[in-house]
Parts: sequence; C-alpha cells; structure tokens
Amino acid sequence: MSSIQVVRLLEAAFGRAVPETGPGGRAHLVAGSLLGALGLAALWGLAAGSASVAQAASSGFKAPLVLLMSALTALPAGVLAVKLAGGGMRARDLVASFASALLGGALVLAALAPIVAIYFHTSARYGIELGIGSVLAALSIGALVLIRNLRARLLPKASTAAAWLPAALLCALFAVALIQFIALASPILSGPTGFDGGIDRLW
Amino acid sequence: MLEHLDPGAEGLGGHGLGHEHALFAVVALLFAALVGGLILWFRRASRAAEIEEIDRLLDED
Repeated sequence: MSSIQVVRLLEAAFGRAVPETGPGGRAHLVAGSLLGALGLAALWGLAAGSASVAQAASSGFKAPLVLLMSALTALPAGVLAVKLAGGGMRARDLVASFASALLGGALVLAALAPIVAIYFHTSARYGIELGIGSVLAALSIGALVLIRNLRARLLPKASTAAAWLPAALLCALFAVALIQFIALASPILSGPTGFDGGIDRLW
Repeated sequence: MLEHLDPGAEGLGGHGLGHEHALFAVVALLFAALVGGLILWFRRASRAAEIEEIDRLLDED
C-alpha cells in the first residue's frame, strides 16, 4: 500500500473530504479502513485485557469481533435510511463514510490504549471506568466523522438533514448492537462492567 | 417465548450456558471468515487503486 493510499484512508478517517476516485479506490478505502479499524481495536483489546496473558489474547480477538459484527448488524438499516432521506447519496457513499468513521473511532481507542493499560494495572477503582470512557469517546468521535463524511457527499442543494438522519440512526443502531455483542463476548475488560449482561441488565 | 434467555446470566463469551458458548463460537467463526474475505478484498482493491492512480497520472501528463 502506497503512502498516498494511507494518507487517503487517514484523511477520510478524520472526516475530511476525499476526492472521488474510481471503484478500485473506493473499495480500497472501505476495505483498508475496516482492516485498520479491526487492527486498532485489537490493540485496544490487548490493553483492556492486559491483567493476564490469556485475557489479553482473548480481548485482542473479541474487541475487533464486537466492532465488525455490530457494524454489519447496523448497516442495512442505515442504507435504507440513506435511501429514504434523499440528498443524492448512494449506499456506497454511506458504506465508505461508515468505514472511515469506524477507523476514526478505532484511532481514538488505540490512542487511549496505553492509558487504559496503565490504569488497569495501577488503579483498582478507575481502570474499568477509563476503559468504558475510552469506548464512549471513540463512539463520539466516530459519530462526528460519520456526519462530516456524509455531509461532504451530499448534493450541493440537499438539506443537511439528509446526512444527519441516517447518521443518527446508524449510530443509535450501532450502539444498540454493540451492547448485545459486548454481552455475547464478555468478559472483554479485566473486570465486571454494567455491560456484561447486555440490555437486560443495563436497562 | 424467550424462555431460553436468562437476563441474569453472565456474559456469553466467558461464563455462559452451553448454547451460549455455541452461539459465540458461531459468531467467532463468522468473524474469522469475514476478516479473511476482507483481507483478500483489500489486496484486490489495493492493486485496482494503484492502477487507477497510474492511469490518472498518465492522463494528467
């Protein structure tokens, strides 16, 4: 992968408009963003489970699993919302924007992974909270990137609601799916959290 | 209808019941297959993107 291609992936992950390339470039953007997001999520998983080698290996596998499966679960409704909202966007615009948003969020996870790891080893009280906080921060940044990318792909005269509505729906469904996949895969963090029992225990 | 679900059960990946372990195993296998497909797709897309980039540069010249 050339340095130009890496720069394109990162520009999209930061929510900056990427010049439209051909089908190969678009596919590269989606696949590269997803693989990058999975790799970075695995890094965060290693940090979050660093209490023991077995837990680290387990969390390093489970964190990207939860990310990818939640994204795939939420995507169909998001595509439908894009079609209903109008604005001249196509399904592939949403998929590319969503993949970039996942990479943007995963970059936050990876950036916070060293802090999460050191707190798990040194603080009995705040380690879990920091782990959950890093996920919430990643979700917020990912949502921001998604909205920026979708707005950049709108037709010039289209309402911004055509970007906001699908983005809001997609983020909500992603979060809802995430809670259940975390329950399915728990324990991911090195201690009990309120998310271990899914929506039944959380609500 | 949802008798098979126990809201009080522990996480399914670590301390769940038998069928929950099976469900996690299926999801894990699906995930592994998806990642494999993603890597293959990425390699093809990477080559296609490079060709498009070269074509674009040649057109500019």
